[in-house]
Amino acid sequence: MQRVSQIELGLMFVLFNFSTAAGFLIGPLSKLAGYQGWLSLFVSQAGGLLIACFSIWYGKKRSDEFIIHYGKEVVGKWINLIMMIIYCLFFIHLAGVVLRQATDFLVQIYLPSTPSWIIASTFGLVISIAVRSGIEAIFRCAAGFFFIIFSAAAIAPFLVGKELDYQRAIALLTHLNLKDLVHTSFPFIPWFGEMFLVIFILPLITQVEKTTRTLIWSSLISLLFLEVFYLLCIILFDDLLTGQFTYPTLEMLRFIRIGDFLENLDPIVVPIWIAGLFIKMSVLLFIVVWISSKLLQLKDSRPLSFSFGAIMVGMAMHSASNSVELNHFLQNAWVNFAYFVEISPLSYWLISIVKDRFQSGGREGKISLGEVDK
Amino acid sequence: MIAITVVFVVITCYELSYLIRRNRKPRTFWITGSFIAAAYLYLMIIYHYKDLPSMSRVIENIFNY
Repeated sequence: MQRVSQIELGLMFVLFNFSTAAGFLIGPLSKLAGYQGWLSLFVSQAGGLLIACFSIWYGKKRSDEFIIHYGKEVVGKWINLIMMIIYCLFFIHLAGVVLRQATDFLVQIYLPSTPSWIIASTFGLVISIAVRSGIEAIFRCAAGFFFIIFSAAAIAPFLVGKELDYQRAIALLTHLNLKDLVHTSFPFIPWFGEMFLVIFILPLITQVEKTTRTLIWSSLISLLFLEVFYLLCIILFDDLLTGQFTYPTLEMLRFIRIGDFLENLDPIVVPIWIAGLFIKMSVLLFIVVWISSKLLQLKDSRPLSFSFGAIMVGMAMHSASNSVELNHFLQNAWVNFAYFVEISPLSYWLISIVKDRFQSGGREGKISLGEVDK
Repeated sequence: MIAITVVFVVITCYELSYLIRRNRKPRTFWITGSFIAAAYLYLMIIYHYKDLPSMSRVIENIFNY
C-alpha cells in the first residue's frame, strides 16, 4: 500500500511550489506588493503551509484509510460525495489552468504560429500517460527532475549577478508597510495551500508521522529559490517594470550572457522548468483520477486517465479567452474558491467533533437515566 | 471535430483492449465507457458553443465578492 517515500514527497512538493510560482506568480506579486513582495512571499508560503499542515494533522488521525472512504462515516454519504466532486472539480480545473498558462507561455514566446490546442493536446497526452503509469512513476520522475531543475535554478543567480543594480536593494528594507502585508499576501496563500492535496494520498506514503516535517523542509527550499528569483527580478528591473512583464523570470534569464559565446540561455532553462509544470499537472490530474476511481470502487484508476486528460485539455482551452482574463480570474474569484476548498477539511473535523459531543452526551444521558430507573 | 472524434475512437479502442486483457467486470466497462462518452460530449459542446460559460466563469459568478 505505501508506495511513496518521504524524500520523494518532499522533492515533489519543492517542484510543485516552485514551478508555477517562479513562472507565473512573480509578475502579479510585484504589481501588488512591489519591494515588499519578498515578505509577502514569506507570509504566503507560511499560510499555505499552515493550511496543508492542518490537512495532514486531520488525515493522520486515520492515516491507513483514505478520506474518500472514512469521510462517509464522518459527514454522511451524500455530503461526502458532494465534497469529493468539488475536490475533483477544483483539481481538474487547476490542472487545466496551469496547462493553459503553460500553453500561453509557449505560444507567446517560442511557438507563435502553432495553434494552442496542438500544444495543449500534446501536453495533455504526456500528462495522461504519466497518470496512467501511477503515483510511483510521477514521484520518481519528480525526484529525478528535481536535481536537473534546481541545478539550473541554482546557477542562474550567479550568471545574472553582474547585471544587477545593487543600489535598489535598500528599498527592500525601506519600502515596508506592515499594514499592507495582509492585503498583499492574501491572494497568494492558496497558491501554496494546494499542498493540502496530500490528505488524499496519505495512506500511500511511508512514515506518515514525518509528513509535516517533510512539508516544512520542502516549503523552505522552494521559498529560498522563489525569494532569490524574486529579488533578482526586483533588483534587476525595479518593482514597476517587473509588475508590467508577463514573465519577469524569463526576462531576467534573458539577461544572462557568458562572455561572447553563450547568449540567451533561456531556451535551455525554460524546457527544464517546464518539466516542473509537467510534474505539477500530473499530480493534480492523478488526484482527480484517484478520487473518482475510489468513489466508483474501481480496482485501478488507469482506465479513467485518458478521459480525464481530455477533459483537462478542454478546460484549459475553454477556461479564459486570453491570459489577461485568466490572470484577473486567478487573482480574484479563484482565490476565494481555493480558500473554500483548501480549508474544507476543517468542516470534516468540526462535524466529527459535534458528532462525538452528541454521541457522548447521549450516552451519558442514557447512563444517568439508567441510574435513575434503578 | 473530425480530429476529436478520431482521438476518442483511438482512446476507446485502447481502453477496451486494456479492460478485455485484464478480464474486468461489465461494470468497469460501463464506467470507463461513460467517462469517455462524457469527455467526448464535453469537448464537442465547448467546440460547437464557444460562448458557453466556462468553469472559470461559473466560479467567478459564485465566488466573486
